[in-house]
Amino acid sequence: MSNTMGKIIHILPQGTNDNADNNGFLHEDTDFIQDHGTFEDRRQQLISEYERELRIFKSNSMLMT
Amino acid sequence: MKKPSKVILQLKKFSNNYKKLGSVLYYFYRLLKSSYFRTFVNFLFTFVFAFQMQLTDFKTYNIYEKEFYRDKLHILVTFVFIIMYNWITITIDNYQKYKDRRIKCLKEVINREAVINQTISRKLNDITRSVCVKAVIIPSKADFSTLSYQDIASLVCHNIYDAIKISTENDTHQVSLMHRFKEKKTGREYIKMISYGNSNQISPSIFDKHFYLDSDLSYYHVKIFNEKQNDLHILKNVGEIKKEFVYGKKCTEKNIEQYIAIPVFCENEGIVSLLQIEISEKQLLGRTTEEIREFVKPFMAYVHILMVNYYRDELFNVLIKKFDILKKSKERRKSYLEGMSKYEQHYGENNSYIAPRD
Repeated sequence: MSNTMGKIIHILPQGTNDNADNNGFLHEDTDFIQDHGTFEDRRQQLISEYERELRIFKSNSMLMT
Repeated sequence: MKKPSKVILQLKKFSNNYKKLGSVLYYFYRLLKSSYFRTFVNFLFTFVFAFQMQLTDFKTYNIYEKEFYRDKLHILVTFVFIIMYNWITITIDNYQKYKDRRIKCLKEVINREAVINQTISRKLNDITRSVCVKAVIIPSKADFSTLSYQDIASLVCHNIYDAIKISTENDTHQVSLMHRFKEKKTGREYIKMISYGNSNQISPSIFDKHFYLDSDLSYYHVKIFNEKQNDLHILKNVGEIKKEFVYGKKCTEKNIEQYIAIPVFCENEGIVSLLQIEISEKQLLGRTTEEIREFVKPFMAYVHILMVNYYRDELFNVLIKKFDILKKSKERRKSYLEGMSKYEQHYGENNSYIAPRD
């Protein structure tokens, strides 16, 4: 079993990355919702949209059963 | 979810390490799974047992006398075999049920992953359309705002929360995502929770709280970001959680039994996000590190979604900056041309002595 452990994870690039800072792309705080209430509203809206699409998906033939 | 027998897991580990013996064990496993074989064995046991009973003398000695047991050892052996055989079949059936539930969970993850990808595709299509509609106007930041990394993180956290809920029939867990940022003024890097999935629809107290990578070193998640290693971090019990100070050295109130952290690792960026699963029930995801690892493996699909969307966000940001530069240069050019046209209009009036009007 140990031979198969974590193989999916190893698809990702491995090891340390010392050049991480060279690229310079890191998100800015202002790109994200910071307020608890506003974010919870957005989250609920996304989840309800998503659940609706999931129900549609489950009713069609593409479903993995 | 009912956990599989430790014996089966040990045998599985053993058969993976020793291939030849493993294939023999696997053959027996398949044989014992077969209903035809089971019927045959049951028939055989009944026949042998009946035959042994026929041969044994029950009349000469009383049950309390030692001599009574002298010719009945073979019955005891058969009896032990029957018990052993039934225990093995029950264990195999339980493992089979566990595997079926795991497959059900995997299918659910695949379906849900497909819907997330569908949602992203639809939103990307909407963005492309809105950009194309305004043919002359240069796109702005608002055109790309309908899809953000935080939105995707919300869907991922919600789905992992749901998958654990369906598999374990328990809802006392929380899934959250810590993301890495850089302060514009100081250049200091920090992480903060940007999304979560839980049962109570209340944002956790540490949502949006900053943990600096150079000063908040006592926190476990800060340590993971600083180590820059792409590996699963599993703390399987309270002892390990306390030892690693997951919630800092000051915090003693948290009632967390298991903690799993999965990094979102991007090339040239290192760890950009950390997916955290916090469990309040003892041994909910497994008894050992291997069992927990097996449980969380399907969630790697969501980690890949986050990774792809990090790159997508990176592309969007570059495009927004480029479009902004283009817009500004267009405006500058426009004002320059306007100025020039005004200048040309009055050129003859003010400079008649140099260039007389036609």
